[in-house]
Amino acid sequence: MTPAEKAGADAILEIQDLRLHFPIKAGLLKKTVGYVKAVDGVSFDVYAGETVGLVGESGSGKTTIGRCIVRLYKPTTGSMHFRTEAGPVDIAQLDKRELLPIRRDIQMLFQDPNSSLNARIRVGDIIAEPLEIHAIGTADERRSRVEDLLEQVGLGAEMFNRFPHQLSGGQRQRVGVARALSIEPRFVICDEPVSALDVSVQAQVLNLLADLQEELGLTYVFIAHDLSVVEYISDRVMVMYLGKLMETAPTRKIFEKPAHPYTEALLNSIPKRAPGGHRKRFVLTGDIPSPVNPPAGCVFHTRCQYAVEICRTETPPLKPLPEDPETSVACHLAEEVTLQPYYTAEERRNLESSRA
Amino acid sequence: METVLEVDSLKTYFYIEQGVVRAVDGVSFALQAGKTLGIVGESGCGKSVTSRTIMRLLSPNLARIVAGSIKYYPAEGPPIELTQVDPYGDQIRDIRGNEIAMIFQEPMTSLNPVYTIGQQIMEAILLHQDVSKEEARERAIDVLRLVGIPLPERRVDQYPHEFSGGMRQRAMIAMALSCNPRILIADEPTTALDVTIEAQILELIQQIQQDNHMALIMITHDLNVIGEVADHVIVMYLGQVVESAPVDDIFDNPKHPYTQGLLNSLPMIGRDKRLEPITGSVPGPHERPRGCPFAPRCPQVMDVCRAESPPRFVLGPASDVACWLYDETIEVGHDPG
Repeated sequence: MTPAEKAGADAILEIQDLRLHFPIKAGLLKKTVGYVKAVDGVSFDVYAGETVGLVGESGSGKTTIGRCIVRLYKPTTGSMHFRTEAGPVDIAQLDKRELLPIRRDIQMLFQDPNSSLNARIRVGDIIAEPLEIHAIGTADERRSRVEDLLEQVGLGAEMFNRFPHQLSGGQRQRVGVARALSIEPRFVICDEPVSALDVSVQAQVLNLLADLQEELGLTYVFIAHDLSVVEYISDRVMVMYLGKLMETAPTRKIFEKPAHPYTEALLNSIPKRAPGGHRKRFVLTGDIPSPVNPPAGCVFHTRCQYAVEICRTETPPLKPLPEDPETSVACHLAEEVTLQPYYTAEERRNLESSRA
Repeated sequence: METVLEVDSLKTYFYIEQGVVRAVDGVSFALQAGKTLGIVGESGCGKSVTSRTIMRLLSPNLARIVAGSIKYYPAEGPPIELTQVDPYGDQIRDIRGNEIAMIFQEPMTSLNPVYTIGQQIMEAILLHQDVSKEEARERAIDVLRLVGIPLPERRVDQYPHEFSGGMRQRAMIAMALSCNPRILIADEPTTALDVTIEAQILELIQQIQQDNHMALIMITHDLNVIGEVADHVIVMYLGQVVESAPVDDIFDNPKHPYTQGLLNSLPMIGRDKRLEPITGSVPGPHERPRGCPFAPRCPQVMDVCRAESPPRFVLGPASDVACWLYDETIEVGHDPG
C-alpha cells in the first residue's frame, strides 16, 4: 500500500494524547514519591492493512504503548478509539468485561517465545486456548481450526501434541503467531517478535508475518529495536524517545530524509559496511535520561548536537512538515537543520540495482 | 604482517551424559596484529566455545581439546602452544587477561555485584603487573577515563548496579584493556545493547585497537557488525568453518551456500526484495548430520554432501571454502556461483 492510498484509508485506531505514568511508591506507607512517565502524551493513527514500525531505545516507551493498546495496562489519561462494526470504541475506558469482544480483534505477539508459552501445555491446546476463552465453536471445530492454523504458520498438524520444549525457537515463535491469529484478529501488536531468533529463522518469521498480513488483511504495530527489520516490514515508522513521539514518516522517508536529530542519530548508529576502510560517524553520547525526571523542554536536548536555547525551555509539539505533510516531527529546528540520511536517493538506486 | 595467533584444525568436544558434543570440530585461522577477525554464525555454531578454548576457560572435566593447535606468538620469546598449557597453571594466568583479554556478552552477569568496579579492574592489574595498590587504582581510573566513563574518580568506587547497561559494557572493556593486551576477544560485545550504545562501543573498541595496534577477534551473529569492523571473516556452522575470506569477498562474492543463505536472510536497508530464508533450523547438538553439516538445509545439496564431509578448498591467497561444489573433480549439475 502506498502512502497516498493510505491517506484515503480509514484509521482503524486513533490514539489521542496517551499517557501512562507508573507511580513510584516508597516508605512504610507506600507513599507515591514520583512517577515514571513511560508514555507521555502520544497521538497517532493506524490505518487498516498497514504496518507501523515503532522504534526507539530501551526505555523509550514503545513496549508500553503496545501493552496499552491490548490493555495489559490502563492508560493514565488519553483515548484510544478502535473502529468496530458498531462504530469507534474508546478502548482506554473499557472495563474487563467490555474488553472481551475487543480482544477478539486485537491480539499480541510476544518477544520471547521461550517464556510466553506455557511449558506444561501441549502446542495444540496453547493455540486453542483463545478459542475456548471466546467460546468459539465446538471442541471438534476448534481442533480442526488449530490444525489449519498449524499448517498456515508452516508447522504441520503433527505438532499438535508436542510440548514447547520439543520445538526450536523459530517453531515456538510460529506457535505464538498461530495463537495470536487463532481468533482471527484484525489488529496485531508484534512486540519484538524476531529479536530472540537466529538470522535465518528471523527471516522465515518475517516472511510468515508478511504473508499472513496479505492473506488476512491484518494491521500490524511492529515494535522493534532493529532498524533493518523495521525497514523491511513497515510502511510507516514512528520514532520514540523518552515516552514521546519524535518523528513519524513513511519508511523510505525516514531513511532517506530524516527530519528529527534523534532519527538521524539512530540511523548513524546502525552498523554498516564501509568498503575500503572504517567509516567515520558521529555517535550519540551518553545514555537515555531517566523517565522519572525527563529533561525540561525537548526531552532529547541533552543529547542533541543541534540544541539551542528554546530546546531547553519549550517542548516542541509533533506537527507535520509544511513542505512534506506525510512527515510529522517534534523539533523546533525541523525546518532549519539539514540532517544526514542513511543513504541518499542516488545511493538507494545503486543499492537496488546492485542487488537486483 | 605480524601473526600473533594461529589456530589450526582445532577440535573441542564436550563429554556429557547424553554423549559427545562436537562443539568445535575443525577450526583454523590466523590473526594479525592490528587486524580484526570476524567470527560469524548462528547459535550453536561453536563460536563462543572457540574463544573460550583459546583462553583455556573450559573445565577439562567437561570439555576436551581432542585435536589441533593454538599457537600464541608473544612479543618476545618462542611461540606458546596454548593447547598444551595447564589451564590452571601460572603460564596461562600470565597470558590470560594480560596478553589475551576478553569482553563477554552480558555485562550484567559478567561483573561481580559485590565488588566495586574499581576493585574488579584493579584485580587484573595487581595480578599481572608489579605495581602498588595506589598505582593500580590510578591505572583503573585512567582506563575508565579512556573508555569514556564520566567522573571516573567517583565511578571507580561504585558498584555494577549503579552503572547503566552501556556503562557496564564500558567497564568490562576497561577491565579487558587494563593490561594493554595484544589480543582482544570480543564475544558478542554489543548484543544486549541499544543501537546507539552499540555504536559507541564499536567506535571505542576500534579506536583503542588502532591506538594500541591490537589484534581483535569479533565474535557475533550480526553480519552488519562484521561488515563494519572485520578485515577477515570466518563463517561457522555446527562447529566447522565453512568459509574463510576477506570481508569484501564475504559480502560481495560469498562462496558457501550457507554464507549466501545468511546474506539473503538479512534484512538490508534499501533492498526492496523479499528475504530468502534458509529452510529449517540449526539442528540440536545431538542431531548432527552425517557428511557436510549444512547438507540438510542446503539448496544445492548433492549425494556426496550427505556421505562425506567436505575438505577445505583453497580459492585464493586468503580464501577457502568447505563445500563440495568447489571440488573440480566432481561434475556439478548447476552453476555454483
